[in-house]
Amino acid sequence: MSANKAAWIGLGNMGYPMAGHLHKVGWNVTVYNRSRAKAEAWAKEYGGSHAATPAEAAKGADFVGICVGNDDDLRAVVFGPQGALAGTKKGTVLADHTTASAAVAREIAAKAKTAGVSFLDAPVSGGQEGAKKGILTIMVGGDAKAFSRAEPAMKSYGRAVTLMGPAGSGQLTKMVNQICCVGAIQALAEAINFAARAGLGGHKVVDTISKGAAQSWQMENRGKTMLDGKFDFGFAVDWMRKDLGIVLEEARRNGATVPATALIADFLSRLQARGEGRLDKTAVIRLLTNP
Amino acid sequence: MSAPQQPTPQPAPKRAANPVKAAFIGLGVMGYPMAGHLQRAGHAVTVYNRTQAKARAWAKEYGGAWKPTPAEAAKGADVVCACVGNDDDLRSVVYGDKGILAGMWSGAIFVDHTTASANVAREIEAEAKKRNIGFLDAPVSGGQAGAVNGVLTIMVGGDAAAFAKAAPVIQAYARAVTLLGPAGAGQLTKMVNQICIAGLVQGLSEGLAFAEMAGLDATRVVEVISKGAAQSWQMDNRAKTMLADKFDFGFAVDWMRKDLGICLDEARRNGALLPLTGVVNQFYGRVQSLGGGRFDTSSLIKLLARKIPAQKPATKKAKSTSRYKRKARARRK
Repeated sequence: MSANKAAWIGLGNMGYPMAGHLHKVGWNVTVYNRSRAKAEAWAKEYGGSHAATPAEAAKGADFVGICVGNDDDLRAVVFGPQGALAGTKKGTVLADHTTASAAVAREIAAKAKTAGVSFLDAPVSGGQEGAKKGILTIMVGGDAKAFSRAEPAMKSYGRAVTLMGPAGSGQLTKMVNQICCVGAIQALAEAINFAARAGLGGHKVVDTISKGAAQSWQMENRGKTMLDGKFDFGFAVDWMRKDLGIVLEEARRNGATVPATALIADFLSRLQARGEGRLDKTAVIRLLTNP
Repeated sequence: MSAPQQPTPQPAPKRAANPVKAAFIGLGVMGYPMAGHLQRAGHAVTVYNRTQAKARAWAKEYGGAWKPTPAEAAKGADVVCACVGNDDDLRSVVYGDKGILAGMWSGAIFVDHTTASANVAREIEAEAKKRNIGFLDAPVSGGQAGAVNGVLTIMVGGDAAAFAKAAPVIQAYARAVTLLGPAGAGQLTKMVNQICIAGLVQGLSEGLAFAEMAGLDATRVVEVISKGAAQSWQMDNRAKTMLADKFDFGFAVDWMRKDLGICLDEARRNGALLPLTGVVNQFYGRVQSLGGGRFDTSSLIKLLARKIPAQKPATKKAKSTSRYKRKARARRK
């Protein structure tokens, strides 16, 4: 992309620092956020500008980054007279970093195409920490041409940016990621609680078994916080339940069998019913320790 | 055509600073090379095996001695190690006139590497104590490759004095030897290990099969997500073979089923809830009933809906390479 005008829609925990990185590498960024105070704060902190609607923010931009809550939020900021698509020009690339369904990605990609705009579904992993440091993993679906044009912008907040396949492939890859994560977390939760019930020293046990075939990122990075009963951080139960809802819906569509994932989705729902939806998703151990 | 499998180079033996008289009972796929490491480290080893031919073959290969009963093999040894199949096998080599305890002298240490129940560990410890024999339950992880290369992780339960005497000896086949608590603690730690593996493998299976059903390039997906929070040893070491539908190697489903049975028994006793582990145990039962008892534990994916892409001719070579790399990695560790 020759010019350097960009827009950013959605300044949550993730979007706020991501837009900041984009601005810092030289893009002229205009942001939009549903609650305006956040947009003003961002503009003040980074020296960029803010607009009152997604359409105004996207006006004239070569690259539009989006990071909102779910499918409905996404449709709300993309479609309609004030939506991002209404403001874009021919040739703009929209990169959506929301974790959403593959279906909405395909829907937006199709509508964007008729307007001569490219759409990439580009969910991320790496959490708030990864967003702040600009080292996210970005899993992208869409066409190769749009990808190569948007890649330099996404590289400002992503360490690994990979094109996985056509529209929807980024979301599908993120789903595989979440399936693997929750399996590892539930297994670790059962193991840690078992160790406690058996009278073992959990920290020493985790240190010992993390050298072998039981090792996982979750064990190395969340084993300690689970042992210490610390859940006031990280990726909330509410968010993981949303992601697994997307997984289960997609599995119904493509015929995949995901029995453990379905079981764990139910555990997360139980935590939500107990009012523990804001805790980190590793709180699944609380269903074992405090059933 | 695939290249011939590279022979595993024998690592240099770890020479023991203080050689002892040792015995090893049970020369299965694990015990055979473990006893070999003991002998090559400089200890004087006498072995026993239910099938005598194996014991003869071992003595011939390593130059140690063999005896027709556990008691005779254990006679005069400072450290006696065992590695057999399950609780019952263990009791049959430990008790009775021809059993290990009958042959051991007062003051010697008995180290059991079988993955067994915490109960049988506590029971044997009590029996051993009556004869002033030290007992350590010391199950291992690292599989056959770990045993062959002498890089096992050994999780030990028992008292500190017995541990201090036996640890330098069993170090011959270990990368890490850790005392985790009183008698039974080694077995309980191994159970924690197996609980983690069962759930991890199920999650990985569902993730990979989902990727296939969604039409993704699953190999590429693994490359991307293994850099982050979804990473696991199982993903790094088994995803490739799972995607290639290859299961004729590794840690057998039959053995995993036995281990999970022990976990679930113990959980009933200590009150721990194991909802996912219980389900995965059922899935392993299903793999067994489909004739997959000898498959690697990663064969859980066989129960899921899949779309395995047609194999390219090059895949075969790639597989043998990955297998070699796995061994090489185990050797380096």
